[in-house]
Amino acid sequence: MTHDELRELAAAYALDTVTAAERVAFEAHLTECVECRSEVASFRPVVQGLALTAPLQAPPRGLRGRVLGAASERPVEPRITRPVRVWGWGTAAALAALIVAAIGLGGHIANLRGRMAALEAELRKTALAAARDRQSLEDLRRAVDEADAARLVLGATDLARIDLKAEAAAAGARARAFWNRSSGLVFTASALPTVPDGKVYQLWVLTAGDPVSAGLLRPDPGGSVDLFVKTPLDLPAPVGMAVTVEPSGGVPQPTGERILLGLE
Amino acid sequence: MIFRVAADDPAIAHLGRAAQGDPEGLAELYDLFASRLFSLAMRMLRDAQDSEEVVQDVFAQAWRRAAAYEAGRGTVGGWLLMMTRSRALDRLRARRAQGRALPATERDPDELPAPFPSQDLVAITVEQGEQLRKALGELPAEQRDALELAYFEGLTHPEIADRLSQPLGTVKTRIRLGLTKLREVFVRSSKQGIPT
Repeated sequence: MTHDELRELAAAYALDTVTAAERVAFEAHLTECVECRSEVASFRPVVQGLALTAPLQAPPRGLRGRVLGAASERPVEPRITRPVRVWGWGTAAALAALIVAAIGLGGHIANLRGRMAALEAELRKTALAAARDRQSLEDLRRAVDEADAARLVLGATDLARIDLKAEAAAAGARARAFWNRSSGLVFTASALPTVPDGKVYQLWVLTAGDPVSAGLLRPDPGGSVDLFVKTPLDLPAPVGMAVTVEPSGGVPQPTGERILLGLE
Repeated sequence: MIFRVAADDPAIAHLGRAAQGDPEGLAELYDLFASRLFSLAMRMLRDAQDSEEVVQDVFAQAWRRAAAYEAGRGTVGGWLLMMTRSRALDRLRARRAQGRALPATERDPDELPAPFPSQDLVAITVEQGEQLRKALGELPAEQRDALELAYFEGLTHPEIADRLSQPLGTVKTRIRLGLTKLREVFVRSSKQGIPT
């Protein structure tokens, strides 16, 4: 499609009434066309405002009681505040299993909690709690927090999945991401080539605007890596993800060779 | 006020209480937003029982996930309306899949509506919503029908063309013209500086 043909789709895209094929074409175009991004953005508040054009109707009388009654029976989920952080090997194994099967994590968490409780008991018993044990306990606490956070992502009903394909420089590598606006992003990759000296792999969320860094990847010696990232709620809707090779320490915007790319 | 600048959003405080497990926070949110959410669900589903269930689901999720909402990013009202529309669309698609409304659609039933970037929620007032409602009513009927089928029923434009027995190109044009007209009204009302 030409630019003009694509631009005609901006209103329909903002209204989410395009077909799946049109969406793919249009979102690919959006990554490189400022004019169309601005056109879509100009329609968004109007589309949002359409929610307020529904004729006002009072909800049924009993609904308030049912809403509040249901809430009193269910606990509030814990807050996730952990910033971007690469997973350690221990939780990575659990996460990989989770992504493959999305089952068994409950058991894993229970197991971690059990080990944490045992360590806490041990610490209480001995006055000579070694620094090493404290560290283990901290690691376990973190593992439980992160496993809980990942479970929130993967258990979300409105979960977006992005499969990434390897570019020639990383032939054989595989990667996949799951994203949910309110819970965050889970990314997993395997068979990544060894990162060149002085370089680092950086993960990007591609949006209709500039790419947003989702952090640095630190693959294990086998080339596998898992990452959980809490994403801001106002992250523009991801249209894809990419991994690039960047100078050590990472960069604000991608500059280096792209080794993985996936469009939603 | 459904949409306001997030920093001023009084609903954030209620949500904060809900996040601490205080049901009073949820009650305040209910009193602020329930009729808006129910109205949107009714407009989409045209069924009181289904709409009630959707609203109940949305508040249940708001309660469970209150802590995951980040203040300063968009508005609580916009977030709740977005969840309401998303759930109502799920039900419409399920109905269509069961043949209760329309034949099978081109759209993947698992596909979800694109989430709205929440920064778009900051500047819309109920007054502007009211102006949009008026402007929608004043659009040529064929443009209004196409827009409403897209927004309230979540149909893609081939589906709308099918429903209205119109050529696809015609439907695309109607949607574009209709939404462009509403945007003009919206921009004008923003410039008039309607008090929030």
